[in-house]
This record gives sequence, C-alpha cells and structure tokens, in this order.
Amino acid sequence: MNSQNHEVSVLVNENPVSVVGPRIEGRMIKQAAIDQGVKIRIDFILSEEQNDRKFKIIGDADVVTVNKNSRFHAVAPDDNSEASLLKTDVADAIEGIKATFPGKEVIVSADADGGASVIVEDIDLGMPFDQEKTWFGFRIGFQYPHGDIYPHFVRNDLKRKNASGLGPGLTPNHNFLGRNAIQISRRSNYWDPTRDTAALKLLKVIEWLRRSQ
Amino acid sequence: MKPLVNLVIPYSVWSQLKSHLFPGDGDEHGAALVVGSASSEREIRLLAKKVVLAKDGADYVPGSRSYRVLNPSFILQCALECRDDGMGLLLLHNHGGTNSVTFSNVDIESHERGYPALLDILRQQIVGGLVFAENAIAGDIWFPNGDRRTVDHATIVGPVTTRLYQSPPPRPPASGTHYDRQARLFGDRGQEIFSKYKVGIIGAGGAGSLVNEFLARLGVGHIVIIDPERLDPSNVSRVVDSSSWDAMTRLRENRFRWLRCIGDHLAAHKVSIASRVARKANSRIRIEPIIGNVVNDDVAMRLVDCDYLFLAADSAQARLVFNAIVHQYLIPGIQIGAKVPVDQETGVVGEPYSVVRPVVPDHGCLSCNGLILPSKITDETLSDEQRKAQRYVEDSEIFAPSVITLNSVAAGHATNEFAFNVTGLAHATRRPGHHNDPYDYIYFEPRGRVIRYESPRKNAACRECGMTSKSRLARGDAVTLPTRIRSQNG
Repeated sequence: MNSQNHEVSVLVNENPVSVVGPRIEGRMIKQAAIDQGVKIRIDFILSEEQNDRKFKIIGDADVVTVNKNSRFHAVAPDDNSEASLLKTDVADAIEGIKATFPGKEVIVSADADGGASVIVEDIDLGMPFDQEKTWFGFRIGFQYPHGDIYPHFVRNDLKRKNASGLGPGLTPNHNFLGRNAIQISRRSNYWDPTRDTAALKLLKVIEWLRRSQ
Repeated sequence: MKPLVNLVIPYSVWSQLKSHLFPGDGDEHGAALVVGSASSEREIRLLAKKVVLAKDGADYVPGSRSYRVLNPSFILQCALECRDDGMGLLLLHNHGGTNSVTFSNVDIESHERGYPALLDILRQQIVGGLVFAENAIAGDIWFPNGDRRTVDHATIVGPVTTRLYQSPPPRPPASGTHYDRQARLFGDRGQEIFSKYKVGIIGAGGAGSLVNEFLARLGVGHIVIIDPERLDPSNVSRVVDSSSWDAMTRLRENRFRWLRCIGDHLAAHKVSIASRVARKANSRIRIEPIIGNVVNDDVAMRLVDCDYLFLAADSAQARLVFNAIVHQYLIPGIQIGAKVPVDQETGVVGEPYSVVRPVVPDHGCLSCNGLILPSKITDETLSDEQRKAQRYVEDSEIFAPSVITLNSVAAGHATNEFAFNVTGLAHATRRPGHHNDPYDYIYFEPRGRVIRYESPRKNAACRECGMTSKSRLARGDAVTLPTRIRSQNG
C-alpha cells in the first residue's frame, strides 16, 4: 500500500464504509460497501452528495478524493415493464445477447404477449459479401426457451462478391420491424431448451451466413 | 389480522398524476409520490403530499432490462428530498388496461434489487412502488421494520371521493328494506360505503346532534362523537331527542343550591344522548361517545383514523385541531355552524345565517381564510379566573341566540355534502351555467332568503395546508397535533 494511503470512513447510503483513501475509484467505493454489508450491487449508479441536496455522479473509473465527511449514494434504476411484456426468460435471453455481442447496439421491441423482437446492429459479415456489416433481427417468442429462434433477418441489399444469387435459405423483400429484409431460414431440428439460447443460435446463423456460397 | 394499506391522494395531486400517466398515447410514464404515513388498528394510511413527474426522455428512459426505467438521478433527487423532510418515497408508473393492474416480474425484480438501498438512504422512511391502470392501482410497500405489504386500495379525496383497487371489488350485498329508499339513489355500493365509514363529529350540541342523527339514519357504520358538556336546560330546544329529564331541569331550576348542584351532576352528557339517538336509528352502528375536549391530545387522537370529520363546535381551539387533523391526516371534513350576531352595545340582532365550510386537503384551510383567530385561541387557553382578572370583554357569541332551524339547514346541507361526496356522486368541478365551485363556503341567510358563496383562498406558505417542508400537510404520525398534553392537566 502507498504510504500516503490510509483508511477513511465514508458514508454510503447512510452506512459507514471504510475505504482506502484519500483517492479512490468509484467502483472500489461500491465494492467496499458491498463487502461491508451495504445493500447495493456493483452496477448501481454512484453519486457523491454535495450541498443543498445536489449530487455528482461518479463513474466506475472516476477517481474521487474522500474524507470523513464524504457521503455517497448508490441507487439502481427502477425498471418498469408492462405485465404482458418481456417474460423473464425473454429478458434473460436479451441480456445474454448483449453479453455475447459487447459494444453492439441491441434494439428491443417488446411484444404484447411477453416476447420480443430484437435487432443486433453492425455484425461483421466476412468475405462472401460486398457489404462488410449487417444487422441481424429475430424474434424471441414468449415461450422461449421452449421454442426455436427462427427465422432471422438481415439487410435487404446484401450482395455476394461473386455476383451469384443469394443461395438457398435466403429470401429477399421481407420486412422486419420496419426494415426491408432478407429472411434467413435456419431451423434448429434439435433445439434443446436446456442448452440452446438465442445468443448461441444467432452465432450459429452468423457463422452459417459467413460460410454460405 | 394485519391492517390494510390505503394510499390517500388529494384530488389535485391525482389530477396532475393522471394527466401525466394517461395523456392518451397508450404509453408508459413514470413519477414519484412523496408520502407521509399514519398507522392505526384500522389501517395503515400512506398520505400523498405531492407528485414529482418523471420527464419522458430524461427521467424516464428506455431500459436495457425493461421497457422503461426511472433514471437513478431522478430517484436520488426525490430520495434526498424525502430524507431531509422525513417523508416516504413511492416510485410509480402505469400499464395499459383499465380496471385491473398488476406488477410485472420485471417490476418486482427491480424493487428487490433497488429498494433495500433506498430504505437506507431515506433513513428508515417508507419506500415502495406503485403501478396504475386508468382505474386501478397495485402497490408494493417496503417498511423500515422489514415488513412488506401490498396496497389494498387508494382513496382520492377532494370534491368527490373515488377509490382505486387492484381489480374491481366484488358486488356488494343488497341493502335490505331498511335503506331501500335511499339505496335507490346511492345504490348498494353507496350504502356499503356508508356502512364502512368511520366519521368523527366534534361537538354534540345543536348542530352536532343533528349531524349525528342524519349520519346514523344514512347508515354510517361507525361514529365517534366528542363533547365535554352535560345537557343544559337551554339546550333542550336544539339537541335532538333531548328532554327536560335529560337536562334535570326541575333540579337545576330549584331554589335550593344543593339541589341545583345535584342536577348539574346528574344531567346527561350530550354524547350519551347522541349515542342513544344513533342506536335508535341504526341498531348495528358502532358509536363511540367521548366525554372530553378535542383540544386534549388523547381525545384528538381518536379521530386520526376517521374517514370524514364534522366540526360542529365553535371554539377557535376546536377549529385549530380540526383543521390540523384534516391536513395532517388528509381526512376531508366540513365545518358547520349557525350564528345570530347581536351588537353588544345596541342589542340589535344582525343577519342570522347558517354556514357550511368544506375543508379538504386541497383548497385552502380555515387558517388561510382567517377563521382561526389567534386572539381567540389565546383567550381560550386562559382559565375563567385568568380571563376575569385580565378583564376580557365577554364574547357576544356566548350569549348569542341559537335556533334548531338554523342548525338544521347547516347540518342537512353538510350531511348531503358528505353523502354525495363519499359515494362519488358529487360533481368534481363547477357545473356549466353555475357560479359556485365545489369547495365554496356556503352561507344561508333566512331572513332575506339569500344563499351566498365564498371561494376560500389558499396560502402556499400556510403551515397547516401549504406545500413547504414546515407544513403539517400529509405528515401523519410524524408530527404532533396542536393539542394539550393530557397528562399535565389531570
């Protein structure tokens, strides 16, 4: 430990928490609070309270100077969804897609029956096509994971470098969430709800498209 | 059985909230309610003081885990205000649908993730979530002691009372022949509402005794009636069902002082007569006659879980306590009286009038309207000896005339106001072609056959009904009433 570092007692959500100061990252404050029993999670938003109920948001990587008067709050966003939207398994599937494609924009449009239509933007296409990237769209049904994720959709102007047709399993001029789209029909004959996920299926379809002739 | 949780919302707060949640776009919107609380054996009441609207696109944004989220910055801003003012925080949004609503799994998971932290921030005030459909509410309330309850219903109080449930309540039983004629107006639902209501009446004299009889005959299920006095022979002309025997008139008009003293001690208490009247009118009624002064804390606290209050006593102190209970506990009330002013010097009788003043937690209070005179409060705190020693002039009202017919106009109108309000039949706003508003004070002047309306004013900085942090509005059990501590006075 740096000889200038020392333990400082701060408040996190009105609970005294001992941290290593005087300068510390936001994420470390949250972790220390969690370790010392404060009822927060690491993904809560941290803020430092200033005067007159004003506060400043502290990012995970932000370094702050702390002292015994420092007061922090860690708060979660309050998620709201209509009762008929996003069944839990569907929401988990979407989380899995985001984790599998970090940095890619994921657009979710909830259905009225608990499923969702999803678009993942900017997926690399690889060699066979003139275009470098495409979006991929698909629907997760409300009975997921018991139902296959099928079909998928990509940009409608996809062209092969070898100027051949699209090939089997690809049909143009469909519509997905308002976008003109090519439909990719790749049904999983052995879909296993204990093992298969929407993210895994998407990876398989992407790989298939990259290898397609 | 644990008491139910009832969220009480003033009409103005509800109007603001409803417009925000249901603007006609069919979409979800969010907001927060700042609430006080009051607990009794009957129910736990969450008292909505104000709504903080979440701005779409800034405070209420698309979520990664859900359709929409309330932004943590918005939540923290509300939480810090509640923390500093000692209030609770309810975060809310709406779903589609009309007459029923429930939380989604996403909603509940979010509560379980985030509310323990909010309980810590709010320093042990209540935290919770609400979800609304157009005519429905569901609530998940987290208490500092670790308890967690659902909201049974919400009551919107104002010019008309309405209720929201999670789903439509079952059809009430038929009213029976006893109330058949009035059930044709109020319906079986209205009659059921009367039967479940607890109403407080402050004062069992001329006006209060009439209110008591009217409410009992309407079918109100529970009445608390408060008055410290015994019947005087001069009251018999005005107190319902009273007699010379109740007043011990013969003894009290006897030439022997000791017999007069016996008469003074044997005369019936006014609340005992009221109790008798109520039971005659409704054998199933629960009536609590309290021989006591509402200015004493132990008596005043008997009213804080009422659903409606009538003030039929004219002391400034009683007005102060009544006004405080209405606003601190969000209980709608009505002040009634009749006055025959007499000029002290000339003896000339002025214009007699009956008056009805609705007092609801929305529209200005008796204090805002100069109806609680500080000088009178000071006078009333003095003993008779102190008053005489300071040679205060006797208030002409003490000897003023009082007439049952004037009282009955006020009492009848006030109980009509109650009946139509609580059954949801009253008009919430001014009717086309009419000049009076639902909150207006009404004066009936019989000599000129005149009915006058007076719009109450509201002082935003009022300590009783204002929105400042120092106001007692919606504070519930968190602050004390302006009452006398009973233990110091025996």
